[in-house]
Amino acid sequence: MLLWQDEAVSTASYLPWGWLSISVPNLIVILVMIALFVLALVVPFPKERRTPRKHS
Amino acid sequence: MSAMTRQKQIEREHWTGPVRRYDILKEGTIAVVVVALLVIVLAAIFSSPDDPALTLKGWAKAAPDDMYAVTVSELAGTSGSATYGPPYNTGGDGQALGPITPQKWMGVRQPVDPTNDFVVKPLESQQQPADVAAALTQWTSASADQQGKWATAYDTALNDPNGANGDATKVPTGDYGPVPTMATGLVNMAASGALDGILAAPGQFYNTNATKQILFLGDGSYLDDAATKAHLQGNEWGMMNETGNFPGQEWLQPFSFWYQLPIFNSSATSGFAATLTANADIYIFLLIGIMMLVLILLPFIPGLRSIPRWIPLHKLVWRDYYNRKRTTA
Repeated sequence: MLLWQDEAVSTASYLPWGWLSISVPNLIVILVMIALFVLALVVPFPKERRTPRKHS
Repeated sequence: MSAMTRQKQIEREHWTGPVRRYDILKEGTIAVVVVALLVIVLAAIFSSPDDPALTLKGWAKAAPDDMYAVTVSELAGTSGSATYGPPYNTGGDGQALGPITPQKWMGVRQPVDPTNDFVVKPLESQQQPADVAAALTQWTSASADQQGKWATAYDTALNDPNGANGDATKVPTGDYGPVPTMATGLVNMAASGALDGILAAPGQFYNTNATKQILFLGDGSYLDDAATKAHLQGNEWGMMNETGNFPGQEWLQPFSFWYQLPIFNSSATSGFAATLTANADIYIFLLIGIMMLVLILLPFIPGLRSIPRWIPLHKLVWRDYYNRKRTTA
């Protein structure tokens, strides 16, 4: 194992799960993306202020 | 009436359902402002994920023996760079998918001669101690054949697993010419920091071409170990990861996935798995191409195109419309 004397290599925490390995920051972003997707599905559209008009 | 004709007719008809006002410029402006504010605030809080670049100086100080052995292999033409092939040199054929060899077809477009570019020219570029200067003169005065004999003999002796095994002090006496002195000279030069600037596209005002430093670094274990430590290796989902405690490129997951399969990570030296591992990039490129084609042609693929009917998520998004439709039906 080499030592990095003047060049620090920083790293995140990783969650190993069998063949899958994911960093905690990546997992957070993926969970936020899933949450946003679910919100986009279930949050109602803003209501129209004006009465809907119809084309003739 | 055919389905295609009916489709065209529908596209020409006026929409008779409900309509609502929609200001795309307003929405676009709001989105840009919100994202810009988020970027500024998050950058202020979390800073940048960029670690300081690895340097040849750092390599020479942290792992001088590794750099020494790599320098010898550059002189002997046995390093990864020397045997890489196009676009750098003709030392190998590059990756192939059967008869498809794009690297070979494109040819040498960024010539890199490891012996001269990584060792001889950098040593010649600066004032050297007397022994290194004499070794350089001996090297440049010798024939290519003699150079090859010296370097190959020393490279073989240095890496003999039953002999020196990488330890220069244990190499048996032999006819190695100026090779050991040149290797020592280059490691000392790198440790002083002089080599970093010289390999960085010399003669150019803006040094943005780091090809040679990266190739030279890549021939040793310093860069490789740093990548392993930072979880950036291809076979550990490195394509998705970032240095430091930052999220990386999750959208590369479909690409990174293939590199985790044992068939593309085999230690076999022959057979199908060995071929796939040695040519993993081009095979995975093909697989990704097929996946993209499936995505592009989704509306035309029976079964796959019916997924929205089986999982009607759109009915959840447009539930008002479908509720109204059900009520009026």
